[in-house]
Amino acid sequence: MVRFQSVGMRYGLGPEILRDISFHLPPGSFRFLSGPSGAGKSSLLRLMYLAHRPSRGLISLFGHDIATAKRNELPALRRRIGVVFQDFRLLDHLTAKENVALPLQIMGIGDEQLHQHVTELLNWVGLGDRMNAKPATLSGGEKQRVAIARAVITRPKLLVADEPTGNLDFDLGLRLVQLFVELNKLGTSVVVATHNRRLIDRFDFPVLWLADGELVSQPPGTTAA
Amino acid sequence: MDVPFIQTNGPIPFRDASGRFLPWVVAVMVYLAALSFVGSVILGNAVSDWQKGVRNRITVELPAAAGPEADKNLEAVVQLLRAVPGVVSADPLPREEVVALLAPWFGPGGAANLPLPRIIDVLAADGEPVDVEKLGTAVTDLVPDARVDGHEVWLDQLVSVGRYLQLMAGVVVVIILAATVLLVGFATRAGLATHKDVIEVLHLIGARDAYIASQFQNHTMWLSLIGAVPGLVLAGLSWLGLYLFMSELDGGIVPSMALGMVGWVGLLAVPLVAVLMATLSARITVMRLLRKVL
Repeated sequence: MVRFQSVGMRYGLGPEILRDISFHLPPGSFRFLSGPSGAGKSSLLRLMYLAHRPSRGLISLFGHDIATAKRNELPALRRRIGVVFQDFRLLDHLTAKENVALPLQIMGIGDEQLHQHVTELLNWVGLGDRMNAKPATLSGGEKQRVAIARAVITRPKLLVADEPTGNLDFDLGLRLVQLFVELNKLGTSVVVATHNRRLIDRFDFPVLWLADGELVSQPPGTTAA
Repeated sequence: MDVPFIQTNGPIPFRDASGRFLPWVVAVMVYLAALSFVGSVILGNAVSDWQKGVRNRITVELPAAAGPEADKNLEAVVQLLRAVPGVVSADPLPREEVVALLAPWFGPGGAANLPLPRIIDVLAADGEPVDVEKLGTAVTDLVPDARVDGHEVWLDQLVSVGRYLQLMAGVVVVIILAATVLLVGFATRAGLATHKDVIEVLHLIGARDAYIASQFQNHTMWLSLIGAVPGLVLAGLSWLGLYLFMSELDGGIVPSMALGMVGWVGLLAVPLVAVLMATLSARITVMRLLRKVL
């Protein structure tokens, strides 16, 4: 479903941030992506959620070659990918339910269906009573759960989460990852970037280790706390 | 009544400076464009009035003279004119009327004791043009110093000036609309920069360019409408003031202030065209700029 072959990436004319990245994610898989800060985790995820094109190599997403995909083909591909951004990136002027409903609104789904899906999902993430709250009044954990609900509202085939537990205490982080595991059981492929080794160790999922822009087979010797 | 589940106005928080200044700009632009348009229509009326007023008129002037010979000449010329095909009437102007016409220069009755030329006012039929040159030759055969004036020379010049001014008014309307388009383009560009982060999120969750463009175009359409309506109303009031002022004046050179059906339709079209062009400008600007991002 997701295939990277000898992928390299740089921003503008800067140095290569990622080098010779090759891996394959089969449908329904779950992967942690880990490595020290600055190793290139966020850049690798940006390639996966189509925020950037590779400077070299081949990326295949749902059978489409990303390097050659036309710009007007990208929205349809992006709708099959759910993204939980590191800094949430909720729209501050919208309520929790409006943020969650946004991907469906973009697809032209009507109010009635929105009501049902959004209410269900916000209840699932435990925010049924905070639907009309604006992000500014939500705690870090609540924002993170709104961001997750927004990422999964379209039932994506691939869910990409960038340090979703970064601002949360361990127990809350654990509960969030369990939400991803539940989604994974429903058939969504999940990639969770984290440098939290303790969290990774609590689950029995394969890990893609990144060090200095390259995939390595073993955990790098230095990890951020 | 059911309250919709989603009540937001849209995913882009349009609370930037453009929201405040755009209605004002559009109001001023619509006001100026509507007035220019009204000016163009009134100039058109003026030109048409002038043409109608003198198009079928020919003036024959016999040199100042008194006595039976002069009366005989006058009678002969009148008879000649009345016999010309296309001439509806040929009437000598009474001396008192000629004196009255000269009153602005000589004072009331000031020209009464002067030798005055004899004037014959000739009216030609509509659609049956009289050859003024040929008529002149026929008249001077009878009275060698007579002058026949079809008014074409000064009328043509006046009409040319009128048409030129009308064209200028049209050009002003086009320039104002073009300036509106440019201003909206700049405002939209600034709006895109302001909301860059939100737009990136929208893109990444699957929004097409057309969806984002529709947010900007709808926003611009409302702001433009908010400005266009008062702009049009103010222009209408200005025209009404001018109409009332002009109707106080005596006729003659003062043109008709009536807009007519075409004028009213055109006047109402000015704000609609302004709003439409502003909306399209916003859409095209967004679509063009978004093409440059992934």
